Amino acid sequence: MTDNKDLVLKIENVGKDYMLGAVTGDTLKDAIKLRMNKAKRNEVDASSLHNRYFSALDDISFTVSKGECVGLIGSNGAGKSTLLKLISRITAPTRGRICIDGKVASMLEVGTGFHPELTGRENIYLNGSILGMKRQEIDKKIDSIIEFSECQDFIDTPVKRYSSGMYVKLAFSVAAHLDADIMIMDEVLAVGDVKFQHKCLNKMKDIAKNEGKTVLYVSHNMDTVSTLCDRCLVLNQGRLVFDGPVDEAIKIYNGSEVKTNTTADFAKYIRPGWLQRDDIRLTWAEYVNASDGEAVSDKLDINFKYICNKTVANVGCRVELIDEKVGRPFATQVFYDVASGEAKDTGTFNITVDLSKIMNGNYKTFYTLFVLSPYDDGIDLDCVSGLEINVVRPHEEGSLRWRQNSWGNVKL
Amino acid sequence: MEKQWTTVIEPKAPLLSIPVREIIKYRELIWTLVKRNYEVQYKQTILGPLWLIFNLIINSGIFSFVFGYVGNFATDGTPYFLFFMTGSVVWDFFANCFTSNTSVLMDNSYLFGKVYFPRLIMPIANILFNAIRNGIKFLVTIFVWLIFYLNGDVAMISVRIIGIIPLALIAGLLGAAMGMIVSCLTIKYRDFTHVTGIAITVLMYASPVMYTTSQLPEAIRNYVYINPMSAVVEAFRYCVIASGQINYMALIYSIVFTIITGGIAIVLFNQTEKNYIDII
Repeated sequence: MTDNKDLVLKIENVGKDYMLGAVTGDTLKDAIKLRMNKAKRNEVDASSLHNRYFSALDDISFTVSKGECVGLIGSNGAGKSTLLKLISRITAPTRGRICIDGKVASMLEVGTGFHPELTGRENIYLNGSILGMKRQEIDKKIDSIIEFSECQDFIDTPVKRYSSGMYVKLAFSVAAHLDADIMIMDEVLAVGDVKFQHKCLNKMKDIAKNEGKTVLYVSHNMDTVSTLCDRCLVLNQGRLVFDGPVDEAIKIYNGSEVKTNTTADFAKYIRPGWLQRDDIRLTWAEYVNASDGEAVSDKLDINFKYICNKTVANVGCRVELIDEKVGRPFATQVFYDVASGEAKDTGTFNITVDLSKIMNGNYKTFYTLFVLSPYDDGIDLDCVSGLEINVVRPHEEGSLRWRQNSWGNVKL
Repeated sequence: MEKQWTTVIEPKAPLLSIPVREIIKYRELIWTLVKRNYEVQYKQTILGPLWLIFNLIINSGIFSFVFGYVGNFATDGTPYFLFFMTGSVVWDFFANCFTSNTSVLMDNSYLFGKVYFPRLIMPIANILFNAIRNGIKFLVTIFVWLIFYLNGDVAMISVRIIGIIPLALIAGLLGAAMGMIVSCLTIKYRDFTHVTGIAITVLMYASPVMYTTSQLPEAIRNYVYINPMSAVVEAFRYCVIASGQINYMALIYSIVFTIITGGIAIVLFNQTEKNYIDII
């Protein structure tokens, strides 16, 4: 445990709710209407109001010590931005407490407060003081800011005449020269062309590594997270699911720590952000026959376990095969009516994937559970990254040697 | 031992607190914002702030023609041009503080949504910017007075002129406070954006900017003082050109009104600013 004195950031049971829909209404008339309705049926409204809240963050607690570089990862909608907004005091938490020691500088967006009519130089001063820099500080740094932005020749031109690239370059340069005890950095800030992006990332690394500051770093790029950070937090659907070493965090984020060659445990798997439903959850998948994960025959038996959160019936399962080089599914087999049950029920089902037309290769899979809508569209209930399929059939004499790169993965 | 934190963020915002220390820390930002407002307003103009003076003179000219010449309004002996100009300087200060702050939260949401600084900085910068603009107008008024004085139309300025400082302060604070209240309400109910323009016009005609209270019928004379700016405009004019008189009761009412409105504005602003970004 670190000494209490070294703590610079302490977050205690922080939660943030957002209202869904327009609860108050946009005009006075709507608000009065809503008030009147509320008065009429008091008890009904309490529950319907409750449903309209959405917890973007729930019960988050962690501490950061001086000099630490903490990565923050999670899929879209996990609550990363909300957390950063709370720490940088842009909006207030609904529950809990955030304690900060020192000055926070947030690089959430570049070019905040840039005014198109003002020149580059004037905007540096404006932007700098909005971000909390003192005038003397800017005076001292202005040469280095201008040099970093590569906009020397245009610095006394109004920024409305800048190209968009110059604009973001100048904006990033100001943000990169901030001086604070706690820096909040978002990797999407690396802007401009590839060369400048590289420069931005190096600058960020420089701040994190060499200047000894406390850094909160948000990124989707695991490479930079692992080079920059000493510690990593994983957020999923508003909850903190992991806090610890970077390697483990990345594994959890990628969902790979729970997989072996022939079994996969989905209990802790982080579902993709687009998934709206949680009626049923896959908990386990296992290859029945292929002992080392290599399929040599045309049939592949998979055994699944699941748990129902709500009453479901006629749930189907899709097995989607993906070639990593192509990046999108190239073949999908659909199984109807494999699972059903009431809330809290658990169950198992077996499916047999037909690989007879799939050529040799190593494929990733997705298992998706779905139900049919009245219009025969699939409504996805669960989606997990599945076990890899490794097809290694021995070559049959007299048959054409398959050129996968030219002819694809499927033989019709 | 509990650690001393520099900042503690909690869901509940304090009701009536002004983060004075923080604002002092950010004082350079206030100045930068004032400068930005000034620079933006007069970028790509040839005459720059001279426009301010032209506007004032042309405005005063029109009103002098309509009310002073055609309408023949009584002004207790002061030339109407100077009479109107003096009143309009303090009125404009109030009106500018009001209108510039009615949209302070909406207009700056792009800033407030990205970076933290004490939100009260913005209204303060607005007041300061308008103080400078109207300070220039006041200097022009003094110049106009000088011309009339040399012509023998008006009396010498006395020490009473010191009185304009507290009066201008009341006008600025009242305008800003009312503006901030409207600004907070606009976040939820856009209806209020439509009210401000008409409200300013009504308040202007309901205050002795263009006329003296003494020429009003007895029956309605006292009602004019319901408008908290009436006493301020009158007193301001009295301090500069000794026209009319000061209604002390009404002036005390104006001061109390300003303090109460200011308190409400701060409470409302503190409550709104902490998470209005989620609603907007």
